[in-house]
Amino acid sequence: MSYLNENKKLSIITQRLIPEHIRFKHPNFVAFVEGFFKYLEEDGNPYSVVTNILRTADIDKVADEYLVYYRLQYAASIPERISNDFRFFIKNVQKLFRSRGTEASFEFYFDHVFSSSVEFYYPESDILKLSSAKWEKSQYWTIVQDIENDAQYLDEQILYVDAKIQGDTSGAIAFTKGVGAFETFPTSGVYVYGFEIDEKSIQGEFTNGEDLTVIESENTIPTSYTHLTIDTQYEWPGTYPDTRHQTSGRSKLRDNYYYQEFSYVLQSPLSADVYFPYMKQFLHPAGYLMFGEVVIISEVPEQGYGPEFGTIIGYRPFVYAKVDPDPDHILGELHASYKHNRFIRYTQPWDMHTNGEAEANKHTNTKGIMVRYIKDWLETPISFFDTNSAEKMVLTASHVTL
Amino acid sequence: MASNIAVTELDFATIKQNIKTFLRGQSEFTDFDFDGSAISVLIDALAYAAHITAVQANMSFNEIFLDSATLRNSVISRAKELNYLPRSETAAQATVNMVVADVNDPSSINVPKGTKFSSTIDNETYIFSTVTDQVLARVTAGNYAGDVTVYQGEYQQSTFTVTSIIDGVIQNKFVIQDTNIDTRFLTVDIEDTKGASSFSWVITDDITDVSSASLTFYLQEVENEHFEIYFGAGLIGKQPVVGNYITTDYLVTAGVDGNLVNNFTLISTISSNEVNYTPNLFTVTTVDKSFGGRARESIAEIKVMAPKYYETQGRAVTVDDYKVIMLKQFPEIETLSVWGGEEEIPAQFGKVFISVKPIYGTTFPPTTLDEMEIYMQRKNIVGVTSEIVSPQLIYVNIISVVKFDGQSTTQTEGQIRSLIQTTMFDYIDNQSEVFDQGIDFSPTISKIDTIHDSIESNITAFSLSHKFIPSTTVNNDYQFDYANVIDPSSVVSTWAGVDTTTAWELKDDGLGILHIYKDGILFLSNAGGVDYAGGIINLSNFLPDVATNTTFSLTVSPISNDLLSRRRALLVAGDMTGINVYDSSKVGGSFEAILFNDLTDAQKAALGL
Repeated sequence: MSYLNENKKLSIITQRLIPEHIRFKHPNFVAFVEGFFKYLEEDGNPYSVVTNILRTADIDKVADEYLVYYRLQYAASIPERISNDFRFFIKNVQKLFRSRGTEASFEFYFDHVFSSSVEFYYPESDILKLSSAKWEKSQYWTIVQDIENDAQYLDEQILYVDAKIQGDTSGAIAFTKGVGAFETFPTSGVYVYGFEIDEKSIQGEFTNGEDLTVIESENTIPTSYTHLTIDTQYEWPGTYPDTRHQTSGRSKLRDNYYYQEFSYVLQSPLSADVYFPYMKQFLHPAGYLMFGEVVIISEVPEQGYGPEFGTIIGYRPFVYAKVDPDPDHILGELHASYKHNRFIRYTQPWDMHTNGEAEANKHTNTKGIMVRYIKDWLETPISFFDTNSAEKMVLTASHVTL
Repeated sequence: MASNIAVTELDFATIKQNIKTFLRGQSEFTDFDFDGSAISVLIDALAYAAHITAVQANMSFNEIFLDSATLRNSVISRAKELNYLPRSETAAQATVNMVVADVNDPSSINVPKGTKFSSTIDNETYIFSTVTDQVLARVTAGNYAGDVTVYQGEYQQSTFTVTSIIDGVIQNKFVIQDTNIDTRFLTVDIEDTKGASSFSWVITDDITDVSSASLTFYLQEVENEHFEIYFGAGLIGKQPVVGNYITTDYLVTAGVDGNLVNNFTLISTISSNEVNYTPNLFTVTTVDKSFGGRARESIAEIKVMAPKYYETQGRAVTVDDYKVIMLKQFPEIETLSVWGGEEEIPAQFGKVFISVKPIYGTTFPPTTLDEMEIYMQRKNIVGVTSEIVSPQLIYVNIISVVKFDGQSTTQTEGQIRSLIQTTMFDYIDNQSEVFDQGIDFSPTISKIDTIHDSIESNITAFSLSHKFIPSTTVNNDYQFDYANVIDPSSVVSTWAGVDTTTAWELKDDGLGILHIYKDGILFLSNAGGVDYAGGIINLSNFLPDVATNTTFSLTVSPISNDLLSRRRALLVAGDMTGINVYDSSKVGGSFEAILFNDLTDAQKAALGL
């Protein structure tokens, strides 16, 4: 059996190679030579090997058994089990080498070697630093939607978070930070919503009563959602968005081990024992301290509630919290600002019960949720505003029972 | 590493048989007698032809890959694909001190590049040369002195005139005639035409900063161990034009043969300040004997280094990156250790430590260490700093009692003991002085048994020592890393006081505290601490009553029989006087009883007796 291309075979041109008088007088000899050529052309025999040698120099054509030599030449320190498509990997391995030490290189390695994922946490970001407080000042606008002209009311407030809006009349521009829920049904046919506006982002002067247009958004906003009008612009006093600057807050003192500038944490479903040796050899930047954390990722449906999901290996992936806010603020409805952090975007509003308790149904519109961030959430105050008083209140862990 | 590839049968007899078997399988030859004389001769001829083709096929196939290639030219070609330039011959370097007087009292005297010194070792004469201009400073009025670094070799030149090859293509590559050159000192100057003003072109291995007008050249190894310079063809570097005159200067060296030279005689007349200083005016003394000379990179070394260098992509990120880049850039390094500051004790995050050992020596001159540090700062991640540190030597001592049969040899007890001590020093010496390389116990005791036919058995243990010269004027802290778990209550150091009669002793209490005893009585408690598991000893506020420049030896017993090395710790051969022998044919009594008579308490403890 030969894999030689037909036009490269010697055996088929034997007749032409041998003079006619010999072919005529010694047919057996010709057949013998032809048979010998066929032997040489057999796969693995000399002529076949020599003729196919150029294929060996092409990684897309080389036989699988010789791929190891490509690995030894171009990716000697990469484990043999790398990638399902080794040929593709070798052709792109230089990009991996050039990016070593970056998050992208870790993600690539986890994906191709361990068929897993990795996230990053830098303890340095939680170190208490003097004068590191951020001071934010926001405006709260009530936005009116005339549903007589809209097919749907604004029940997808999430779409308006981090959106760039423009006043149709004034031409002024601003960015939204959060969007309040729809608890208010003030008058028939009109809905009112709360937009939290980053005051620093306001360019120009919006006027009450002018229509708004979303001109940029990370989300695709249906055209039927666009009839928005500014009702009233309230200005909130400034506030600190988090407790990072407070000694009583979540920040940590530098400990020259975990909490220092040169440490990083790999968060993966894998045990650190599995990937540490590879990371140390291949990706870990010398001088840094690497930690590993096992994270548990649970696939959950979008409209789930806490208790029915129970626990996962001792952790509660969802929090079903009863909130007992400051009674002074339970005059009207509470609107929860949408909360952002690295992994979770809380999409559900807070429901007000008749008994004065608010229930928080926090879940994510992403498919995964990492339990450690529930803890983060509890340590990070959530801002509310009271639609009656237009005052801002802060809900902290002290208001929440799990 | 993969073995060579066998892509086709290479055994003649098998090939011949395979041909017969194949032909028998063809319908037209089923009734042939392949063992008949005529056809057998024909098959022999065909088998030879197939055999030769098979050999060529195997050779060709193997030369395709770096790992299986056997010819240097093939390995070099594969290394080029990885942007790897193999190491050339590396000249040994030495430091000499030059002293001269000049009544004209100039501000300094310049020792120009190319100044030659003669030296002899093993009846061979070697020339050493300066590779840069160096300065002798004015010490006092009319007197000049300074340390000068010299490299083994003499400067030679190859010159080329750029010509047009064919079809207007300009010659772009030029092969340097000499082979044993040290490419570190290669310079290229180009004149528009011979005799016109010349411009220096610089070598580069990184094209990111090169423009079409940059005066840069590239270097590669070509056939037969020659090096070739080439240019960027007006795209990644300026292209010399027809008629340009190229002068290459380089040091031709004997490489490894130039090591360990320690006598130097100036043979060049030095011109400085318009004055010619003849060699006899200078006093030349050796500061550092020559070291760092090395042969060109071997095929085996290239196969290891080229893929590793490719993986670095010129960036120092991981520990391995640092090692490869350092070894590539500084061929005079014999061995090195790299560790991140997260592994240092105490931890120093954001730092990377590099400890280097030269060929034929244990430390580099400070100027070389500075040069290494500066180079690595250009390669590592922003925010991370590299620190080059000298090795910390751990002396490996052998404590042994060797039993031999005096009636089976004419050698005396003293001769046997001396033979064992010398042999074991060399044995440890050959096993050590490589970073991250330990010494195994079992082969060591086996080695002792094989030193002489009369040796019957041995009881042996290792001890480890650090040597240091403490300050006698200032209280200092000292830290010693033994790289091995320390046996509690084994730490010991003894010294005589300034009065030579006081006996001082430093010992640990087995609980991690060091105490100092004077004439056997506790003198100072808590003189430091011992981290037994970590293998670390800290001396605190140490100010011994001892003569200035006294070398201290701080000795411990490791818990493990096998010795480890780590970080900056470098195991070296130490004291072998703890090797004792006794003649079993003369001495009666038990083995242990005899040992107790001849050994010190520390030696007994080390041997577990």
